[in-house]
Amino acid sequence: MKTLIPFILVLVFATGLSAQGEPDSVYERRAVEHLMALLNLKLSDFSFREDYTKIDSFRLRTISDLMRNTYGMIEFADRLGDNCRGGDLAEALKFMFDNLKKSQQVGRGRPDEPYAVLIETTGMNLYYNTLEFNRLLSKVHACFNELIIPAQKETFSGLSDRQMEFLVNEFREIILEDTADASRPVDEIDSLAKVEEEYLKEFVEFGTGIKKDRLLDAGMIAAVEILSEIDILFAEIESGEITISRILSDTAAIPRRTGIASYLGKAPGWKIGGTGNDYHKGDYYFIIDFGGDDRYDLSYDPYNPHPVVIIDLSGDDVYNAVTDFAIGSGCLSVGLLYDIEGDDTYNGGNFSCGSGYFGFGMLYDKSGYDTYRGDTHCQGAASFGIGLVMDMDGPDLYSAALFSQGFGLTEGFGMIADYGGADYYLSGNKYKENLGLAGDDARFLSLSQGFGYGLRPYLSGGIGAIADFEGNDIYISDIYGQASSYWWALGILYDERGMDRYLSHQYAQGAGIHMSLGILADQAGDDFYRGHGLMQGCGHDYGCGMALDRGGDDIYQSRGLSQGGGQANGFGVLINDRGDDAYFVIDTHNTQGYGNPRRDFGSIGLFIDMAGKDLYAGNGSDNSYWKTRSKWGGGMDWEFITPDSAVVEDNDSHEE
Amino acid sequence: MRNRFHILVSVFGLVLISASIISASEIEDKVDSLFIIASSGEIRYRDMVQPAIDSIAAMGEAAVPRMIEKYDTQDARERHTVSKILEKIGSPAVPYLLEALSIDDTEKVSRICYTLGNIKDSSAVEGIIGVCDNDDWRVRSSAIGALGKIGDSRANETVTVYLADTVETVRKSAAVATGRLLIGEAIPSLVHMLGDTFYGARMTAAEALVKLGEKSVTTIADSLNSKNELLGNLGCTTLGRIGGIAAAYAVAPQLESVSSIRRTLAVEGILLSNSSLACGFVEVMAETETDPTVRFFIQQVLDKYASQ
Repeated sequence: MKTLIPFILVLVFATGLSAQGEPDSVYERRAVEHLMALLNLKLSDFSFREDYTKIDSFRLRTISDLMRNTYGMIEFADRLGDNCRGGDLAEALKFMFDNLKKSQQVGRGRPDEPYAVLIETTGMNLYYNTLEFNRLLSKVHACFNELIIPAQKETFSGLSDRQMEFLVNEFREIILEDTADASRPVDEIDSLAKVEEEYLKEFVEFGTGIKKDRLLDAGMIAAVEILSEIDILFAEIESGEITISRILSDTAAIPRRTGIASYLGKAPGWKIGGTGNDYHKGDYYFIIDFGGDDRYDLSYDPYNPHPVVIIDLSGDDVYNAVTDFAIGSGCLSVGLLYDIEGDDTYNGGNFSCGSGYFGFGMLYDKSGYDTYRGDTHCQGAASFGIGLVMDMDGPDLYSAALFSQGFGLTEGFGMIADYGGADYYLSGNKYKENLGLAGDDARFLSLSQGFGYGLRPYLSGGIGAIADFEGNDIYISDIYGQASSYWWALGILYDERGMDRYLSHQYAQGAGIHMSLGILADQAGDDFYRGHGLMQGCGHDYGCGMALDRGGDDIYQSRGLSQGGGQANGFGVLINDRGDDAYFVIDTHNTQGYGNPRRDFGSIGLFIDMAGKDLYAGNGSDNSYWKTRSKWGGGMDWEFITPDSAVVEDNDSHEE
Repeated sequence: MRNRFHILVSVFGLVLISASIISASEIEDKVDSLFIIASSGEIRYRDMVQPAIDSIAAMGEAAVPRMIEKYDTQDARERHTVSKILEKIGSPAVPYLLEALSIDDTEKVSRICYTLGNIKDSSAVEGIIGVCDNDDWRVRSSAIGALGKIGDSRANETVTVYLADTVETVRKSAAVATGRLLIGEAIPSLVHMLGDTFYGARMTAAEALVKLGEKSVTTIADSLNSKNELLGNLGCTTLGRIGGIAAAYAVAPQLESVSSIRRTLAVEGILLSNSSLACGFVEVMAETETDPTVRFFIQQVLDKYASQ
């Protein structure tokens, strides 16, 4: 029997475009201006002064600009998406680098005039005879000797030996937490805090002498050039034009009196792995492994900083960080790890898995179901540098304790760019939050998942971002996470597709805390947001937090000071473009468009829903405007985007 | 004999001096020790924070010099604690704080002004006025704010001058202080500030006008058609918050504005004014109004006054 099956109603949301052909951002702006006018506010009110406190020399231009125009965060998040969407490494890195310009910095090498130009190495003896392989080896060799090592020297040329040691020891101590702090007596904690404060004061005296741009530029060129050679080599192997066995066996006969170290690929610290299950242990400069389920026990000596490049072409590999600064970690140098195929496990510790610590660190994983584990400052984390995880495909698990998963400390831009699969991001569960910020219950610090952080009041913060382009993702953090920030910093979480779940306790989901900025920009999917407070578009103490959701039927739950909450002269904004959404709050007195006073004047809290049939438990209601009893805030649920006509009915049918 | 007397006096003097040195040092040690607890943010010590603050405050004047030194801290929690303790000590701290206003550290001077404002001792007025012309806007803002909190009319003239400061935060502080001091002469300046580029100044000026009440109505009404749209918009809201028939009638002509936002705010002004008489204007406009936002607010007015 023939049955006509009504087939497919495809809802096509051309990203960012409404039915009227204008970008969503146009409607968002219009709606915000409309609500603000009704509250006797205007868009230019979203501005903070730069000099509430003394301006330090480490502040980033991007953050200064966005503090002056906090609404610009939406456009910035869109640009982050645009620059990362295609998975082009060079483009993503350029965006990161460009946004690391300091406020007071005048000239920079990029983008038109790179600091460094890669000149191919000559004069090395060839051990392997395969052209493509030698090209890769010679590229790495050139990157080390012509780019990274000279850049490394220049970057730190103004520092004394003692100051270099300071970076490895004292500054590291400032970042790392200690679980023992939870049980220390008060005078000991006070004493430790004072010591760290003295460290910071000492660093401020010489930190501006670090010329990190030179090293980052070298790292970027190296990262892109090496990837290009890997792609060529891998393609030739895949096509059968060359075979791995030939690459490994076709070698030169070495004259008896010639040292093997003078041969390309055979220098100390260089290792070539085969197709079997190999074990690599130690502090390497370079490893390439052609296959097999390999195990890497990697270490790094920060007192002898050097570039590291690790390339694994296939297999389900396990990478273990035996010391800090291992696994795609650049410590005072450049560290790159490329894993092309396989379901891999990265067991990082501190400063691992795409960590740039006064340097450039990148972990590039092209495919597979990967597991990332780590402690502090890992998984796309950067301090005075760039830290990047680019995971091009597959559902992945990211698990870390602190300062991780798209984390940027001072002069740092840390990011995870993930392109495929339903991913699971988990941070926290190790270091207790001892200040009772979230009440008397013991909670854990996360400070992760698109988190920017500054060391108050001495060092302004950096930029931390997650850009996730596919899959139904789950984000879990506890205190501080998911597009939030602290002290002249910026945290971004950009999620393009999928039905995502965002769970956090406090200071999260678009929160700018203490002169800081955070934006969560979810582009599509039926999402679920859950937490306790100071979240979902919340700004505290001259901070601005924005929660933007452009599509899908979403559910928001929280207790208080959220969903467009401004506190202590902060700005909190929640904007939901489309979909039939549900909003639940418990404390109605400080949510859904609320601002409270400090310093004798108010904050700004805006709640905006632009379309759909929405459900409220709180101040709002469908198709209405409201003002809260606050200084100053309100909300509206008003049809600013007409029902989208981009619903395409496919008339094709088929017979069974 | 005279020598022996001199020796005795000298020894006695030394004992006294050393006793006072020991005493001062002991006080500092005690303050330092208590302050660590008083300023602790640790959840484990939460119950001990207030007793520690109280203990330092109980030391009174003796603790003040050490506390003023602690204003140097860069830690926000410690800074708040210093202020809290000095406020609790109150008037005995004022002479020391006034003396400290002469230092060059403007960040510290700004914090001292803040504390003096919270102590609310009128003997500080002249001293605070003396720092109002500081080049650092933070000092000006804090000093003007303090004058408002103290509430002494000797500050009226100074406060009014700073309604026109070049820095928006200072204007805000002046607007707040004007409201606290109820300076009627400042009404024209406050009305002008309803169109301020900084929301903090704008909104606090509106609040000051609301506090000043009916005497502001005419000046606001006269300015509703200002070219500065913000001024007229916020003027409607302010009149509504002042309330009463005069305010509502002053708003009513704005119901015919070409701007839908202005009409909305005028309707809302009438809603806030609690003037059922002015409701008639809204009822009339309901028949022709097409803008959905304005209509939403019209309905609110009609619902509110339906029974009347």
